[in-house]
Amino acid sequence: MKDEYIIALAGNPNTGKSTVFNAFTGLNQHTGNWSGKTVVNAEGFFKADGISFKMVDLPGVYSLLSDIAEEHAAKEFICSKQADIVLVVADATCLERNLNLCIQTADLADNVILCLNLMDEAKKREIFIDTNMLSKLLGISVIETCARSGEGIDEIKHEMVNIINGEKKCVPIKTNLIGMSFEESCIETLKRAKNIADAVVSNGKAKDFQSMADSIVLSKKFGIPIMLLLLGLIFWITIVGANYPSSLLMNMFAATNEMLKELLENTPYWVSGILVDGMFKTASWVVAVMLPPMAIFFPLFTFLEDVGFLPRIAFNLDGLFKRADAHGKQVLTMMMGFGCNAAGVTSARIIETPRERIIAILTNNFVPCNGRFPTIILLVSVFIARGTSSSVMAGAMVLLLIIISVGITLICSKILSKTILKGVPSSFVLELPPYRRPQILQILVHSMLDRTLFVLGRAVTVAVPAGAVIWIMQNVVFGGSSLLLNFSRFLEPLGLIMGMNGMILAAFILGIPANEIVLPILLMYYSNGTALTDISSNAEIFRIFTQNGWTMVTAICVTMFSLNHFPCATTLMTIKKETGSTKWTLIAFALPTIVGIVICIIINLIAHIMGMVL
Amino acid sequence: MAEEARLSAVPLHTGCVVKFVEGNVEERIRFFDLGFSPSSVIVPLYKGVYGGTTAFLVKGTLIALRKEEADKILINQILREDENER
Repeated sequence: MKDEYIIALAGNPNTGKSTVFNAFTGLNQHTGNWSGKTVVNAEGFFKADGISFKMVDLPGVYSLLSDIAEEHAAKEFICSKQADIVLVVADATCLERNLNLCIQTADLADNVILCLNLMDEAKKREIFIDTNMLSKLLGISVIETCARSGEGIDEIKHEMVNIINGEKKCVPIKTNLIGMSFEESCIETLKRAKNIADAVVSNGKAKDFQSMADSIVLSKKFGIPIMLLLLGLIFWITIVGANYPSSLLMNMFAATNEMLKELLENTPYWVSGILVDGMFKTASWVVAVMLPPMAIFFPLFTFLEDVGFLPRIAFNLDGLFKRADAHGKQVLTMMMGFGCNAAGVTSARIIETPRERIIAILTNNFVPCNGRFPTIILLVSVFIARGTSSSVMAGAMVLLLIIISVGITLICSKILSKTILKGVPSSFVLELPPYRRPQILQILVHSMLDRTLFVLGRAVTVAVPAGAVIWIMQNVVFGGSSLLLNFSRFLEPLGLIMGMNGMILAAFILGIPANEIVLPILLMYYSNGTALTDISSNAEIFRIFTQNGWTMVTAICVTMFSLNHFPCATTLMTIKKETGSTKWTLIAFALPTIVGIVICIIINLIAHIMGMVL
Repeated sequence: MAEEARLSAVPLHTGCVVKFVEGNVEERIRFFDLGFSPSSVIVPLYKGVYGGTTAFLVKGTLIALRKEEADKILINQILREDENER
C-alpha cells in the first residue's frame, strides 16, 4: 500500500472536467465555459475508504497525438505511468467525439475509468447511452455522473479503491493498430470511436434550446444587437445597483471619520492627519465608491462566462479581428481583461503563436478592468447623467466607451501586425460549447464575496499606504511648497495640453499599484477640510470636481485617459513574467500611454477650437 | 458537383461528408481530432456577422473555422435535407 495514489484527470475541453475535479477535491477552482480555460495544471487531494489520493487535472485536449503543447503534456503524463489510474471525463451529449481521447488513453494506460458526465444534459436532450455495452466494448468501467450535483462521484471513488485493492481488474481492449502509419492509426481510432458510439447511443431531440438560442445569438441580424444589449444591461445593473450601497457606506464612513477625529483630538496634527485625512479617507473613498460597482460587475460578468456566451461573442466579432490581423482567440483574452487585465494577460497562453500572443498581451490594457470601471461609471454618472432617470443614459454611454476601447484594440492590433510584430495569421479553431444552466446562487454569492474580500484587501494594502504617502507629500514642504505640489507642477504642462492638469496626472501615476485608487486620491485631496458627511451624492461629487477646476472637457479627457494609459503594477509584473522580456514590458507600458496622451490632446484641441468658434 | 468542392463553399444547413483534408500530417491530425475526419458528416450552421468565419456542427459539437481553414477540407457529397440530422 502506497502513501498516496495518483489519479490523472483527462478529458476534452468543456466536459465539466473542472467541476469533476472540484467535486473530488473540494478545491475552489473557477470554471468558465469556454475551451482552453484551464491552461495550468491543478492538483488536489481526497480520501476514499482510508486511502489517500492526489488528483492531477490535465489540460483539456481532443487527443493525445498532435503536436500541441497541451496534448503533448497530457500524453507525457499518462505515458510516464505516474498516475495509478486515469479518469477520463466525457460529455455524454456528444459521446463519439469524446471517445477518441478515451480510446487513445485506454490504448496507452491500463487502469482507466470513463466518467460519463453531464448526464442531466443528456437526459434533457433525450440522449440515452447503453453504459453496459459501452463498458464491454471498451473493456473499462463506465460510470455516469452529474458532477454539478455530485451524482456518481462516490461510485467512482469506490471503483478507484477497488482497482487499487486489486478487487477489480482493469483490462482495456486495445485498438488494433498493427502495421499502420501514424495518420492511419489516428483514422482507425476515430473509426472505432464512431462504431462504438453508433452501437451504444440512441439520439435525442434535434431541435432543442441550444439550437434555438444559437439561431438568435449567432444570427447575422440579431447577434451583435443582442450582445450589445446584454453588455449594456450589465453596465446598467452595475450603475443602479451600486448607488444604494455606495451612499450607505459613505454615510457610515463619514460618521466614523468624525469619531476618529474626536478620538485623536489631543494628538499632534500629523497623527490625525496621516491616519484620518490620509489613510482613512482614501480607504473610505475606495470602499464606498469603488467597491460596490466592482462587487456587482464581476459576478455578472462571471455569469455571462458560465452560461457560455463568451465564445459566441468571439464568433460574432471574429470577422473584425481577422481584418485586424489578430488571432481569433484574442477576443477571449480581451474579454478576460474586463475582469482583470493581469488575468487577461495570463489567459493569452491560449494563443499558441508567440507573435499573436504578444499582440494580445500588448493590447489587453485598452479594455478597462474591474478597477477602472467604477472610475468611468462615476465620471459618466456625475458629469453626463445627473438625473435619476438617466442611469439608462449612463449605461449607454459606458457601452459606447467600451465599443470605442474595442475599436482601439483592433486598430492597434492591426498596426502592431503591420509594424513591429509582422507575420501571417495562424489557424484559428473555436469550439462553441453548449449553453449550460449556470448555478446562479453559487456564482453570484461566491463571486461577490470573492471580489469584496479582494477589493477590501487591496484597500488595506494599497489605498491605505497611498493615502499616508499623499498626506505626507501634501504636508512636507520642499523649496517653498509641498512635495505634492512640486510633483504636480512638474506634470502641469503635459496635463494641461491633455485637457487635464498636473494633479490629475499625479493621481494616475500614484495609482499605478491599483487603478481603483486614482479617483479616491483626487477626491481625498479635493475634499480636504470638508466634512465627509456632505459628500454622498453624485451632485456633491460634481460640486467637488467643478470647484477644483474640472469642466466637461476635463471629465472626458480623464475618462479617455483612464481607458488608455499604462497598465497597473500587477499587470506589468504579469506581462514581464509571461513574456520574459523587459522590452515587451516597456512597450506594454508605453503603447496605451502614448495612445491615451494623443487622444486627450486631440479632444482638448477640438474642444478649444469649438470653444473659440462658439 | 465540382470535383474539388470545399467545405467553405457548402451552403448553410446543408450536410456534407468529408473526403480529404489538405495540409501536412500534423495539421490533418488536428482537424481529425476536432471531428473533421474522412467520412464525417459536417453541417454548416451559422456564418459570422463580419464574414469569413462559419460555425459547423460536427459530431454533436459546434466548431467555428475561418474560411482559410474551411478551404482545406474537401468534401465529396452533399446530403439531402433529411439526411442532415444526426
